[in-house]
Amino acid sequence: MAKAQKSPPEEEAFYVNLRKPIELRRHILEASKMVIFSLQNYHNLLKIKEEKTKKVALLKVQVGEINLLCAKLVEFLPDYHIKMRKELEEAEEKRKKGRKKSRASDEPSGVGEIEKLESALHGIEHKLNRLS
Amino acid sequence: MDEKNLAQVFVKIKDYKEILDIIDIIKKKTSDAKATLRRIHELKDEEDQEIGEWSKNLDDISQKVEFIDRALFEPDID
Repeated sequence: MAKAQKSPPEEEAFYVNLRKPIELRRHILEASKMVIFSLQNYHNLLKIKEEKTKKVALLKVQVGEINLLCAKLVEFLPDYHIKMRKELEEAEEKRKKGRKKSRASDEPSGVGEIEKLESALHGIEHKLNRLS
Repeated sequence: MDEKNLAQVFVKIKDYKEILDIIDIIKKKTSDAKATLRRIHELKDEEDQEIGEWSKNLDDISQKVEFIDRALFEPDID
């Protein structure tokens, strides 16, 4: 098994006696098997990650749809609080101004959306404070 | 603000029906979103399990290589 490399005939060949040769062979084969399992792990992980990315994107769409429906629901309720409406209009104007400023500055994608969400959250919190 | 002191709010019956429809759709969409989130949780668990198996496989490989190394570099000199 661990035969020394073939040497020219004039040189003397030396051999090393290995202990437990069968067990050694078994360990090499098992290590090869484990390496293949590891490669399978890699491919399984890629598949899982791919599906997870798709599901996260789907969840974003679903939550977006719920958000739109909630906004539609709010539209059905009459504006009975004039003062509140004025404040909302002011907030909307501020938001538009803020949006113009944010467009002017070069920001990485996604930052604008986060700001928009923060602004929407602030608006909802303001409305809730007005109710309590 | 006290609820009793506020003016009463009325919604047109046509709008009211539409509101009920929207609420039904929201309920369905929420249920769908919950199912998607559950699947994401499952995938996260599968991912952790796969990483755990990977780690165990690598430990096994290093043990085997250790044995092979010892067997090759500590030959029988009798």
